[in-house]
Order: sequence, then structure tokens, then C-alpha cells
Amino acid sequence: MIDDVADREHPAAERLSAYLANELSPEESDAIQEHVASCRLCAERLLDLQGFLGFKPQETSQGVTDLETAREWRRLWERIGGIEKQGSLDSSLERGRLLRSLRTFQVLAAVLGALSIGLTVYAVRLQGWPREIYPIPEKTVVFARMRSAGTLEEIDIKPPVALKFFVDADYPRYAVEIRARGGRLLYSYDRYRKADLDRSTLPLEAGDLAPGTYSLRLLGVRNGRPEPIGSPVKLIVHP
Amino acid sequence: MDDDPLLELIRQVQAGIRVEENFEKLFRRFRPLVHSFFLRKGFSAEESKDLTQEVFFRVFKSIDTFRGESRFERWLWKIVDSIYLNELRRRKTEKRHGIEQSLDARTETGDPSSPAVEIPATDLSPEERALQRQGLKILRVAFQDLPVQMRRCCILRYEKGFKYQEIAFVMKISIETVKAHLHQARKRLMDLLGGGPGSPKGNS
Repeated sequence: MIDDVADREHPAAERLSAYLANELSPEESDAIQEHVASCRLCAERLLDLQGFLGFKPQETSQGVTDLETAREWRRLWERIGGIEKQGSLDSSLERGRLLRSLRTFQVLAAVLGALSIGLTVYAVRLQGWPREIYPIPEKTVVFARMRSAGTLEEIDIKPPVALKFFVDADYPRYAVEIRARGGRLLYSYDRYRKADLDRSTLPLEAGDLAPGTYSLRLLGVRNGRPEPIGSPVKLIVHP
Repeated sequence: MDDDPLLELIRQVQAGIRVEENFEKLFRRFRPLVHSFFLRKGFSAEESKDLTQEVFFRVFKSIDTFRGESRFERWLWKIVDSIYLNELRRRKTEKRHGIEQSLDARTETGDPSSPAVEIPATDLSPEERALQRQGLKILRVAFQDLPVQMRRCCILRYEKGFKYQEIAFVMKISIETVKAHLHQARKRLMDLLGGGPGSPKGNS
């Protein structure tokens, strides 16, 4: 047997046990059988495995065997204790490494967070709030050239609110005007393009307009000349 | 599967729950199996104890790799098998042959289904051993003409000296099939070898 083990290759224990458990393909199984038929060592390994699988543990009898088992257990546990201590040392070292990594990560995260907040504040000051992080209610105002003259549309708003414009006339540029009841111009923005009108809004914060009634107009600008589109809209601002 | 007390024991060791107490239970339960394995393989009592220690030390170190997909005994056997083969290789390297003595012992059990052609015994004279070797050579050549499974049964029986039951287990066939193969093989070999002194004797 001692010669058998080194004189030739033998199937791994995994394959032998898989053979017994019918987990191999017919070809692999046949190869194992062929090997086993000519290899006493492996045939006996299979029989050994059978012995393990058929093992029925018995209650330990008191006496010499039990004393020996107890002695062997103490011997084993002392040896295991060595790796246990080493293991706990390793894990404390590992924990230390982990904590250090965690602290580094926390510092990095704090720096990145501060940088991100700073950049956001700067961007907001520069460009105003992006719409997606400024979710104020929207109100659509329609300016239609085809609307019959004399029809005055009324819009009730309670700032903050974002006015969205719908228009049926094409101009290179558009302008929005908000006038007080006496006709005084309070707000004007004349650089809207059609695409801007479609995708952007005019945000009105509380305090931008005092509660009251205003006139809202949309003008089409062509060759530098503004032309009213439809009738002005009566804008009623509530506190 | 979780209701299996053995698996529960292993799970607790894996989880680090009362490791010493639970692993001791595992050790006490399987030590007799492992220790007797090494004794059966011909190792001395002291060697068997050391090898058993090695087995359980490795069990402890690799217990986390046991996933419960197959029986624990199968997993344990792989460790035992690995340590056993390593020990054989180590001894082979050291040119020590003390272990071989025990392997002959398995043919000295007096079992009625012991093989017709025995492994050469030490009490044979050199001439007798030469004759036996010659007989085995003739048999090996004759076996090549037999169908595959019949040939494998014959080798296990006449060359390796396995019992019917062992052959049946190793080949994963029934004992009746083993007997039928060997019966057919004997008839063919008798025809082939002319029933001479080198032919196998039936004993089933």
C-alpha cells in the first residue's frame, strides 16, 4: 500500500466520494471504476468511506477508553488554544486595521461632503436653485393669440410658485412683464426663447410680489419689436 | 436539516457559541471512528492517536468550510483520507515499510469468502512465490480477454483479494452480479487456461 500511494496518481477524495454518491458522469464514473479495479489503495479508500458513512456513534463507555478520550481531548484543546490565541491576536490586528481604514474613510467623506455643499451653495448663488431641488408648485399660464379679445384670464397664486407659460405663437424671443394695477412695470424678462418657455418656469418667491392684483403679459419679440401675445392675464397674489 | 443535532452542534461551533463544549462533543462522537481507522490501517496505538489529533486539529481549523451540503461523515472522511495519504507518502519518502505488515492482516480474517488466489504469503518458499507470481501473470493476461466489468471483478477478487460484498460496493453492483461475473469468468478462464494449476479455483 505504501508503494501504491507514490507510484501512481490517485483520484482525489472529492471524486471518490462523488463516485459513490452517483454525482459523476458515466464516463468519469467508468474511469474511477477502472482505476479502482486495479488499485487496492483506492478500492480500500472507497470501503473506508463506506465505513464512515455507516458509522453509528455510541455512548462513550466509562473506563480506560473514556479516560484516554479525555486525555486526548485536553491535548487537542491545548493545541487549538494556541491557534485560538493567535486567531484573536490576528482579529484584533485586523480590527485595528479596519478602524484605521474607517477613520480615513470618514475624514475623506467629510471633506467631500463639505466640498459638495460649498459647490452647491456657490452654484445656487450663481444660477439659482435647479428645478429638481426646488420643488415649488407650478402654475401654467396660457397665452393664446387665438383667444378672443376681451377675455381676461385670472390666475390665483400663493407664492412660492413657478409660472409656466404656454404659448401658440412663434417668435425668436419672448418677454414676460408683470405690472402693478397702475401700470407700473415691476418685472420684465425678455430673453426667453421658445425652448426656454417650454422647459423653464418663472419662480415667484413669497415677498417677490406683495399680495394684490397684477397684470401679467407675454410679448413676442421680433426684430427688436415687442408684440403682445393674446390678452394680459390678471394675476392675483394671495398671502 | 436544521433539526439534526449534529448539524446544530457544528453550526454552533461555526458561530463561535460554546466552542469548547460543542467541539468536545464532536470530538468524543467521532474520535472512535477516526482512531480505529488508523489502527485498522496498521498504525501503532501511539501513531493512531497522533494522526487522530491531526485530523481533529484540521477539522477545527476548517470547520467553517463545512456547508452541510453533504453529510459531515463524508466531509470528515476527506480530511482523514488526506492525512492518511500524506502519511503514506511521507513514509514512502522516508523508505520505511513498517506499515505494510498490517495490510496483509486483512486477508487473515478467516472469512469464508476470502480470495482463491492469495497475496503472496511470507511463509512461502522462494520457489512457491515464483510460481504464484507466474500464475498471477498468466491470469492478468487472461483477464484482458474478459468483458470490462467481469475483468474488474476478477482483478478485485483474484489479484486484490476483495470479498464479494466489497467488490459489489466498490463496483456499485449487486453481490449476485459479482458472483455471476466471477462464475462466468471462471468458466472462460478454465477453457482458456485448460484447468491447469494456474487457474483460479472456485470457492463461492
